[in-house]
Amino acid sequence: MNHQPFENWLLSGESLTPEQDNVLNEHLQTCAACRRIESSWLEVHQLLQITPLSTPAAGFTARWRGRLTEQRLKRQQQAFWIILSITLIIPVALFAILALQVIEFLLTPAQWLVVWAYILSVFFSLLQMGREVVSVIGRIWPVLPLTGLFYFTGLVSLLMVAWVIVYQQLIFARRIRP
Amino acid sequence: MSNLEPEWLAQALKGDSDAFAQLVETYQKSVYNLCYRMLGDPDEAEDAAQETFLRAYRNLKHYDRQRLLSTWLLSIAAHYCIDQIRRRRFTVLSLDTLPQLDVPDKSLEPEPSLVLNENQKKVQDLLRSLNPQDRAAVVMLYWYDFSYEEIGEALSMSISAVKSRLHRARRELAQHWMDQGSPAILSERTRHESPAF
Repeated sequence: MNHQPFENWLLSGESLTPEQDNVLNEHLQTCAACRRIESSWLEVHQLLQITPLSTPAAGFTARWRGRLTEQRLKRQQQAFWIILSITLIIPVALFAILALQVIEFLLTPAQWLVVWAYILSVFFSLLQMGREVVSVIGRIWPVLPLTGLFYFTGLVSLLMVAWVIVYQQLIFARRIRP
Repeated sequence: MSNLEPEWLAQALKGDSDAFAQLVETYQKSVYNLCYRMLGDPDEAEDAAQETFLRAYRNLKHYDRQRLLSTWLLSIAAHYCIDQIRRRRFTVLSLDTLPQLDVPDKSLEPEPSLVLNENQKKVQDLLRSLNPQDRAAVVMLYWYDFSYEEIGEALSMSISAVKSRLHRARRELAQHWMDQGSPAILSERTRHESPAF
């Protein structure tokens, strides 16, 4: 037997129109399954209606305050350990790097000096390049109007993007052709 | 809702935990009840309710004052309990951890207290037969008189999803009741506090 829409009507929790109510009552007179659903749901509904709110044990707010204090203490301890770890890890790491450098220097002093001289020369040349770029921009700045500056910045960005693309293409080409 | 609630909220937002404790005092019963109905165990419900208030205090700056504080708190509680139930599925339950009955209210006479406990047990048995989200929707509807919109807002779902979940939950509750042989409700009592707010 088809129990729809009667089952939906019984369990929808929404009020029915008088017509729907009549049709449902007629169906209930002939359908034992729907009558069982109806009576079960009515009993459950009644039980839910009469069941009061459960209350926590006395002193709930005091316990909450205790937990809050506990949690704050825990967080302070965590923060302390994090800061302590960082302050310990950084010097240890620096010391380890320094120790490696010293060992490297002691093992191969000439090679070490050459490598560091090269690194320093690259660093100073980059610094010099940056200074020149800044001085060029400083000279152009008062001459260019705002729109010109806009185009200039756009052009520089475009050149940078183009440079990155070309660089990637070259690297890629080198990778596929070893 | 207390007239002082906006003031407590404003103070709590400035970091005054005493002001927030007033809100805890006001809403402890409703939050605890939701946790208890969801989890079925007084100790777990206590933990969940405490955690709800701690989370609410930590995230108070995110609270939208257009919403009711009760809806916001119950939403946090419901989501926390749903997560707990999902997590619980991965742990093995022993017979000792089966949900206990409510601690009897000493203000009640022995017989009504027994009746109340029996009914509480039946309610918890019924609620346990539902999945966590359906259970939360049922609790919000029958204990807090939430509208479909409020349930949807609290559980982050659409109104049609709420309706369909409630429909399914009613069918499952009725079916579970029939499977249990329709145990009689021991005493008809007028609902103590309804709605919860």
